[in-house]
Amino acid sequence: MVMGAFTLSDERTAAGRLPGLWQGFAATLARDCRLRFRRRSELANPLIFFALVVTLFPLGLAPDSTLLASIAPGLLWVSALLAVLLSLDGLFRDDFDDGTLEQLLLAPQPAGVLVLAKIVAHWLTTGLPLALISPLLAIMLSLPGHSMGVLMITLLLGSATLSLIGAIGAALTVGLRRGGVLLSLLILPLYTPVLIFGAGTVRLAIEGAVLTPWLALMGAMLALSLLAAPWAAGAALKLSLDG
Amino acid sequence: MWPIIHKLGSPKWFYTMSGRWLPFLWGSGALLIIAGSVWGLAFAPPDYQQGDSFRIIYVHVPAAILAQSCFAMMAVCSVIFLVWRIKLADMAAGAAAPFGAAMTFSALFSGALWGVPTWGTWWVWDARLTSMLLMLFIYLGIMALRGAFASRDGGARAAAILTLVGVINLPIIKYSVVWWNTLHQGATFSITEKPAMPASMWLPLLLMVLGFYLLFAAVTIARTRNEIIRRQPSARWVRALAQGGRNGL
Amino acid sequence: MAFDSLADFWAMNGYAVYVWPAFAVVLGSLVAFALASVVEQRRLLRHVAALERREARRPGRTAAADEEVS
Repeated sequence: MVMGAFTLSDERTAAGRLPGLWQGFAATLARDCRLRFRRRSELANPLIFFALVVTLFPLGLAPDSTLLASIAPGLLWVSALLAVLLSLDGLFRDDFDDGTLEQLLLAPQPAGVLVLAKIVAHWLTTGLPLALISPLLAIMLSLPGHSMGVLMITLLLGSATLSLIGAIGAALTVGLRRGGVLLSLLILPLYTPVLIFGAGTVRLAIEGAVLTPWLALMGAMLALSLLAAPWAAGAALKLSLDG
Repeated sequence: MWPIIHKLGSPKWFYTMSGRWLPFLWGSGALLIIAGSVWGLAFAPPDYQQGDSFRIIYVHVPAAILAQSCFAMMAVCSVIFLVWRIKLADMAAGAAAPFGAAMTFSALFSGALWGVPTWGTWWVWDARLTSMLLMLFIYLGIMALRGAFASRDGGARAAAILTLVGVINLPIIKYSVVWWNTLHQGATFSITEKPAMPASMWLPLLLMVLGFYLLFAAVTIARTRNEIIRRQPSARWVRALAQGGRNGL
Repeated sequence: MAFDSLADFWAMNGYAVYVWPAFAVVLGSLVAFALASVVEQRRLLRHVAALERREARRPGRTAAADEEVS
């Protein structure tokens, strides 16, 4: 903790000025991405989970393609949401355990910006791949072809919102020994609007309705959580470190 | 300004002042609820469509209103606690949470009982019902989070942050559920759209709502007072209170 | 009075099964909260008084200063 403060002040004297906001953001983002890509197997886990859950539904229901097509939007969205939820516990856990988080919050940049970098890294390695492989699973559920693009767009927008909201829950529970179940209890009710709009937009796309208002609403939710969530998560991380 | 805030935030001052108000709150709240119940159950005319099953309104609507007001009150307390670090605000928010959860559950339960004679089913995925259910989950999450922390200050701050996140999210949840609902079945079920009620019907409802508010205030104050004793049992004035027997009630 | 007799009142014109449980649960939870908070206050004050007596018996000890009532 103390050493971190010294390192930073040394850097300042060497460079003559503080590392800027953008530099701090970029450095944190690069570091988090590098760490995540080093653990390839962990990287694939949410994707495998996503595929597995999607596989479970036809087994539990019936292999009837019209039935599956009618419920495919909700089913894919629920599965993707659960996959994101599963990955949330790891968002801050390792950094919390090895003390990196404490260093991060001592940095001269505002906590919200650095937390946002971590969230972006999380989305790049969770939400983005989920959205990219979703058409594959959608084909297996016989989702009509013309709605694939909409499914991907809603998942791209929605999973970013999920990462942002989820970061608050992850930050609140990171200091707790058994935070996993509690995390889902806190976060799932807050996820419902994203699920409703995400799956609803895909359903409307199947019917061929005008989608721009609904995509705009999803964008609005993303913008709102982009504004509020990093700061809330930063405050939550501070209290988790205090406790 | 500041001396007033600090005085208001002082547990001892709050304890003494609220002690004077509490009997009045209990009494008037109970009186209004008893009067409203008797009036609503026995004297209000039956609804021309729903018959006597509409009398559930006299507990259902106050419970639903209180469930939402309680959340709003907790949000205000959370802001006060997070910004000014006034512990009393946290104690009040913590004291109100279980009551709010109970009111949410009560509203859902009485709504389900009302649903059978009115809609022919215990539960519909109506916008109001669904958003109330989600609010119940948020209440439970806040309570669970507070309890999960080993340090009290940590739990208090975590609960305050989650309360604020919840209060931003609740309108979004509500709106999204309305949208989702209209997408599915059209706004068929609407409890509130009634032909204008005669005074003999809405006056008892008004009494009930006021009574519920008074009792909410009384319960929250009483539970906050208990929390004060629980947190500082060694304070001299608390010791004096305990020695003096029932004087503090 | 909207009912002809007391039996009528209890029957709620066939809606008794719905009306009475709804009132019982909602008003019951109010009463439960009220009673619980009063009982809790008595218990807490008794506990504090017991703490005080215990410390009075052992005057050297003030370790209980930070003790909390659970």
